[in-house]
Amino acid sequence: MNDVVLRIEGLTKFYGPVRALHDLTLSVRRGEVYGFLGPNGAGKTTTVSLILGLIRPTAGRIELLGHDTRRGRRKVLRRVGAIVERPAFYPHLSGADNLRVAAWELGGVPEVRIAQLLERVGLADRADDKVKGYSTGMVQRLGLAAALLNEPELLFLDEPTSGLDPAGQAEIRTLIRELAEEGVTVFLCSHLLHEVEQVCHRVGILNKGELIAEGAVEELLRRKEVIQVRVADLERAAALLRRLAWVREVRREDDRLLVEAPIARSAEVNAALARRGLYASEIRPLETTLEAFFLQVTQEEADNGS
Amino acid sequence: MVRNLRVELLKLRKRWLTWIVLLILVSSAIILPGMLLAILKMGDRLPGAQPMPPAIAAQLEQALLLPDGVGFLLSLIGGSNGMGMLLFVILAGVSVGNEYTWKTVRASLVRGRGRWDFLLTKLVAILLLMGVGFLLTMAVGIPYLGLLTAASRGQLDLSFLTASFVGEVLLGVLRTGYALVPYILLAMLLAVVGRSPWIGVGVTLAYALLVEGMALQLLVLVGRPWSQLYRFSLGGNVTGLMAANPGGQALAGGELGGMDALLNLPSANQAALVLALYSLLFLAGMLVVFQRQEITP
Repeated sequence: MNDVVLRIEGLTKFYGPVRALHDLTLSVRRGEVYGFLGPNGAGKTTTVSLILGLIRPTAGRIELLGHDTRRGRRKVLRRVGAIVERPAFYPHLSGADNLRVAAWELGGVPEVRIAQLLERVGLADRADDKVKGYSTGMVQRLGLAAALLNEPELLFLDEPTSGLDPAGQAEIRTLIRELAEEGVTVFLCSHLLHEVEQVCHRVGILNKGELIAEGAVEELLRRKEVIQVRVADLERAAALLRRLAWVREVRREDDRLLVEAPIARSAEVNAALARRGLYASEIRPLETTLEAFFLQVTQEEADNGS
Repeated sequence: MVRNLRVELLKLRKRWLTWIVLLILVSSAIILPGMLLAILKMGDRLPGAQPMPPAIAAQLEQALLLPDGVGFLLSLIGGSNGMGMLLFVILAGVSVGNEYTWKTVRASLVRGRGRWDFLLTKLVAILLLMGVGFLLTMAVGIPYLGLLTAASRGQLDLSFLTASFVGEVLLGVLRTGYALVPYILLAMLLAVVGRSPWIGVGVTLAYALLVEGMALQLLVLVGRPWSQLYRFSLGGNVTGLMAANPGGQALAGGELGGMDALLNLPSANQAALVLALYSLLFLAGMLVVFQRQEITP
C-alpha cells in the first residue's frame, strides 16, 4: 500500500491568463481508490489531462508509475487505463471493433480479452452493433471495457457512472471495488460524493484549481464531527461551549446549536452545560457525510476568498 | 507503425465515405468519357449547338479514346481540379478532423500512441487507399475506353499495348498520386489546426477550386508579375507534372489546355521538386502543430 504510483509536485497550469490549477501536490499509493472531488470547473479534468500528457503543465512535475512523465511517457501509458471526461469512440464502428482499435493501439492485448470485457460490462449481445446506436450508459460501459483492456496498474476514471441508471451505477461501484481488490489503483474523479464515500480509501478536494483538503475519508469526516445540542438558552450555552478548549466551533442554527467537537466528548458537553444550570433537552452526534464536509470546506474557501 | 496502420485501415474500411469515394472515382471513369464522347458525336445535332471545327472535334475524340484516353483518365483522377483531388481531400480532411469532433484523438493518445505516429499512419492509410482507388479506376477505365474506341472507330488497334506503354501508365498513376499528396497534406494540416473536418476540407477545396482554379488563372490576364503567381502555386505545378503523363501534353499544354496553355507551366522535373517542397512544408507544419497542440476536453 505504500508504493506510490502517482506523485504530483507543484503542478500548475495556466490557460493564457486563466489559472486552471495552482501548485497541486498529491500522491496516490498502489492499490488504493483515490477520490478526486471538486465542483465543476475545479480543475479535475485538467489534472488528469496533464497526467496523461494531453496538455502541458506550466510548472510542476508528475511521476507516473515511477517514471518522470517528461521522459518516456508513452511506455508508461501502456500500463495505465483512462476515461477522460466522456468515453470517446468511432460511431461507425461496432463496440467490438472499437475495442479492437484500442487493443491494437495498446499492443499485446489478446483478442479473447475483448470478448471477456464485453461480457464483464454487460455488452456481449450488443458487441456487433454500431456505437452510434448505443445509449449513454452503454457508451460508459464500453469506455470502462476499453480502459481495462491492458489490465492497467493504474486506472483514471472521470465520472464513470455518468449516464447510468441506479442499478448500473451500483454495478460500476462494485466493479471499482473488485478492481481495487485485484490490486488496481483507481483515480476516481467525481462530483457524486456518496459514490466516492462508498468506494474511495482517500480523497482530495479540489476547488478553483487548489487542493483544499486531502486524507482518508474517515479522517476527513472526523475533522468535521458535529454534536447537536438543544437547550433553552442558546446564547449562554454557545458562549459557555466556546470557552472549552476542544470545541472547534459553535454555530446556532434555528433552535439548536451545532458544536464542532469530537463526538466522544458529548457527555462532557452535557456536563459542562449542566454545571451552569443549562439542561439540554437533546444532545446527539450529527452524522457527517462527505457531501456535508465537501460543501462546508468549499464554502469556507469561498468565504475566505471573498 | 504496422499495428497502427492496421488500426487506420480498419477505421477507413468500415466507413461509408471510403466506399462512396471509391465508387464515385471508378464510376466517373465510366460515366464521364462516355458522356463526353456522346456529346461530341451528337455535336451539331444538338438543338442550338454551334458546329465544332472538325480538327478540334477529332483532337477531342482522340484525347478520349485509346491510347491518349489514358491521359484523360489520369487527369480525371488526379489534376488540380480533378475528381481524385476533390474526393481524397474530403477523405483526408474528414478522417483527421473527425478524430477531434469524436474526441477519439484523446483516447488514442492516452493509450500511449505517439502523436507523429498517429498522423503518419493515417497519411499512409489514405495514400494506400488512394493507390488502390487509382489502380481500380485504371483497371476499369482502360478496358472501358477500349470498348468506346472500338465502338467509335469500328475497330480496336491494340498495337499501342506494349510493355513501355504499361510502364508509362503505371508511372502516370504514380505521378498523379504524387501530385495529390500536397493537397491531402494541406487538408490534414488544416484539419489539425482547425480541429475540424470542415476547416480541413472547406479551406483546401476553396483554395484549390477558387484561388487556384479561378483567381490565380485570371491574374494571368493582368500580366507580369501577377501572371507568374500560378507557376508557383500547387495547381500550376500539378498541371506541369501531369503534362508528362501519356496524352497529358494535349490536355495540359496543347490546344485543349485552354488557359493552361498561356501559363508557361514549369517542366515536370521542376514541378515535382516544387510539389515535394510543398509536401514537406505541409507535413512538417502538421507534425509540429500536432506535437505542440493541447488536446483540451
